[in-house]
Amino acid sequence: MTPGLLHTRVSASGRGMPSGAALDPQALMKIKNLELRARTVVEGFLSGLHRSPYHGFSVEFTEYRQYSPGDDVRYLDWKLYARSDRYFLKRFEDETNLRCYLLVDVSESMQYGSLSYTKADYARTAAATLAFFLSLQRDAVGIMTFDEQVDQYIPPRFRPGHLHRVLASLEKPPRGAKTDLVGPIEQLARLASKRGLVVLISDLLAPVDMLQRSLPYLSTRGHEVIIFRLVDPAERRLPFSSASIFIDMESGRQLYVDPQVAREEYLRRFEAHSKALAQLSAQLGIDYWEMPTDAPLEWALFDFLQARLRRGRLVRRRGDAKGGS
Amino acid sequence: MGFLAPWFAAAFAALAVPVLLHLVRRTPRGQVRFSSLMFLSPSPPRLTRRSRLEHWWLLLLRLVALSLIAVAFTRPFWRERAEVVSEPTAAHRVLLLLDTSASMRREGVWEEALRQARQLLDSLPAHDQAALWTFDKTVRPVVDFDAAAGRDVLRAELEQLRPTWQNTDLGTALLEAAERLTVDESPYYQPRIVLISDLQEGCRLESLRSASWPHGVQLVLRRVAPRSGQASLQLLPPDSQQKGFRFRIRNDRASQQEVFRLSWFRRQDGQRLTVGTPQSVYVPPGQSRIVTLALPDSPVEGAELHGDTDPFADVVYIAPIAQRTVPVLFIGNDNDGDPNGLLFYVVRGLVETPGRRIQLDHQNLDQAWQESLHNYRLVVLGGSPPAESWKAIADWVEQGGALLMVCRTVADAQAWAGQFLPDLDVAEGSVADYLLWSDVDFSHPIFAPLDDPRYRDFTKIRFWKYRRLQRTGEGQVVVRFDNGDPALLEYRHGEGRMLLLASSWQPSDSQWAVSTKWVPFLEGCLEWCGIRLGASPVTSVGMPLPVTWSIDDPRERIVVQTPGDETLTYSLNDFLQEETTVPGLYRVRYRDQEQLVGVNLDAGEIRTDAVDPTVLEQLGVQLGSEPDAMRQESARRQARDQELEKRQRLWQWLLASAVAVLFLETWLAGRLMRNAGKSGPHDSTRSDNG
Repeated sequence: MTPGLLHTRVSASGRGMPSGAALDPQALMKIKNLELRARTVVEGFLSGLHRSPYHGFSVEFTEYRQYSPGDDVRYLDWKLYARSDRYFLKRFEDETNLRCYLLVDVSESMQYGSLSYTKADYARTAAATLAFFLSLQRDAVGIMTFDEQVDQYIPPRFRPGHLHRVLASLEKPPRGAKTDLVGPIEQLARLASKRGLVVLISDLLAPVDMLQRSLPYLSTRGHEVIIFRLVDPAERRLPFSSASIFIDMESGRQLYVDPQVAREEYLRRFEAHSKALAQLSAQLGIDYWEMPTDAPLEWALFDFLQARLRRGRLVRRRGDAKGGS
Repeated sequence: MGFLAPWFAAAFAALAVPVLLHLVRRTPRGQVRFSSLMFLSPSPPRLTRRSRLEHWWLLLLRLVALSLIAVAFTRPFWRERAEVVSEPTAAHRVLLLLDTSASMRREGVWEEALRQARQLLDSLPAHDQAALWTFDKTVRPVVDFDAAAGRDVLRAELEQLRPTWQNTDLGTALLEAAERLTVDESPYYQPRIVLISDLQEGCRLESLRSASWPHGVQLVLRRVAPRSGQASLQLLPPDSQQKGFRFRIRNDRASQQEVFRLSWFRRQDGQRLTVGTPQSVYVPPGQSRIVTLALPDSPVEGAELHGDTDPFADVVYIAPIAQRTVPVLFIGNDNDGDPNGLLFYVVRGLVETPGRRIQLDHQNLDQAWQESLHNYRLVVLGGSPPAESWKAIADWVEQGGALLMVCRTVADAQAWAGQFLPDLDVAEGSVADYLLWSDVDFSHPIFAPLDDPRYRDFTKIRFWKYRRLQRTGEGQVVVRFDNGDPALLEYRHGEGRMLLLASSWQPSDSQWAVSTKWVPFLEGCLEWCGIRLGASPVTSVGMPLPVTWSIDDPRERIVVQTPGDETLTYSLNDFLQEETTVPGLYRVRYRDQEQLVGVNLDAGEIRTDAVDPTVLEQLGVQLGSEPDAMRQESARRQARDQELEKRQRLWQWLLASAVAVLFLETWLAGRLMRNAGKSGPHDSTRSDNG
């Protein structure tokens, strides 16, 4: 690994990210193949953790159920029959494993990027990384890309070639339209009948009340929701110096803006929006992570695992409390 | 200094545009595509005072460039150099086309036409070229452009002109005049035809339909109108169902009269005397009536219309058709009441017409008719006379007689051959079923009238018997049967001619006499032997006098006495080609025969209602108007200015200067931009700054 690909930093936002070397996103994005990009991130991440992917937190105990007439014989455990001379059904793995829905925003605003890549590139890589990581853990991964409506939907599966389908769908060029979080999330809530994990990767450049309407659809159905909000460095700082006509990438609206005059107001509103999003997520029990697009992608994976661990502890605590009472 | 297109000076208003742009130019250098404007608020536009101060050189250059372009479009030129430039010759080539047809004889029309022609000649500038042509049915160049004659010659020739009695062919005249103007086309002369005509309804514009009007030739119409509308009288072809003569009385739309009287007249001591009682006719303006007038007992020369204010076309000349007797001899042992014989069909086939009466004499073959042969022009021989009679027949034919020999039997043909063609081989033809005529010579006088696709069908005439004629010598085969054998042969003998018919028209031989071709065949035989009867002795001005008698000797002179009592002598060929020029009664004498011929105005010429000039435009004629003096002077001045401007070509220099200034402006603007780019802030974002 060349020194140029190393990106060493300590989390400025106080995450519990262990210090160490991480891949520079700019160098990572030069890898054209999305699967290779995801593999690079995941393997680098795992090598730092020194943990086996096959002993992940999502592995549940497998159970058997005695066969009764009418059950599908395909699921008979013949090895067990050989051993025990009894007919037992093997419980579905996907029932026990994690079902993860990656919800990726491909709207026009995601095509913005002040770096050498856009927010959409970053989002695709992050989603591919998560999908690759989960598939290594034999978890079922599905994906839904959306702008103002659902663009593509692949239900969660764990089977050979499924990861490839997911990655291929991520590589499709975006259609480019406005962001609408209500419709696609509603649709996902209808499609995802079984509980699972929903990871929303978006810039969330939409009114907060829109999210206020849509996110409860997921949380009330028992889904765990993690939000990765992608923020371009230029969006956070508004570094422009000369007055220009600013064109909204989604609506095409044009506005004459002198950044020197408008910056202060912009930053104030931007922070207010971020706070409102964080506040809303906290209310709904949603893990909300703001992710600058110049940050290493391992952070996304780390934040993901953090959320899972915390959720696991939370569940366990709830279980302990229930058991204690 | 002058300007050829001063209205382009309005473009100086465009100078305000760069000034305004420099004043209101905003600071944004371009556009930035941003993910969302939801956190941005618009900034108020700012005027930059610096631009007015810093870029005034740029502004000045732009103003200069625009000014130069605007001045160039006004096409400036220096007037003080006008003296050295020769006077341009932007002139007209005017062809004065004067109508001299008969309709110009209406009251006041010709005087008005002359007045307008004089006025035109007087108003033409000296440098214009002028020609004078007249036309009726033909075009006559009186004074052409090529002639070195001045306006005085034109005026003198104009005064000599008089209207004729001919009809009008305006279309041809216009085309010829336009062609003349395009023959030697000069860029300095604008071709123009000035037509002075009454443009009456019968002026014939058909030729314009089949020709395209040459580009650039303008027709200026100077219409002359009569003082008032009038009525006209026209002789119609006789109706066989009615006795007397038929006339059409046409009343102009502009006419003031409605009631007319029609009567016969004859001339006495140079005056027209009314014969009989006039017939009153009511014809409203714009309508026509057809009136039949019976001939009185006393001789008349024509009919006259009374009650019309204009005497034009009020008289029609008629000539009584003298019915002549045409003697035809049929020799044969037939009975004219026997439908199985030949004579039965000849009697019924030779019909009487107003101009001729057929005197058909019948003699049996063995009767003593030999001495009387010279009384007949046509003899039909339906059999074989005694041998001694053949000599008389041969002599008669040799002296100019016309013989129709019908071979009813082989013996008939052999008898004829014994006298005229000993080598002729005759046999009874063998017919399996029937024969048809298949090869008819339609150039022969007998069949020439049938030379039309509607009448050429001979396939319904069947022949069951015929005589096969071989070794026919010099005989011209007029018709063949469909088996190739001759059916009708023509022989010349001395001055006369003979037709040899290989079959006959009696029902046992053929269906010929009961076919529709029978009567035309007999008429053709009369024509063939030189009997030209039945032609109408009335014609119109411009046509040759009709031949209404038999031409026995083409070398004989024909004497014509015109209505003006002038006596002219013609050979036959000259007579057939000589056109009449004046309406009236012509007296034609040939040998001892005399024929009166009435010559009237052409039927088209008396249709005197005015034609809408837009009809000419519909036919492609480019109508124009005559330029007045002020406009001509203005045009001359304009042409002079154009010439000056064309020589000086200041606009080219101005445009070149403007281009140079624009290059300078581009260079300066680029330099200013570069300087601004070096000193100004640089955005690190990916944006589309222009």
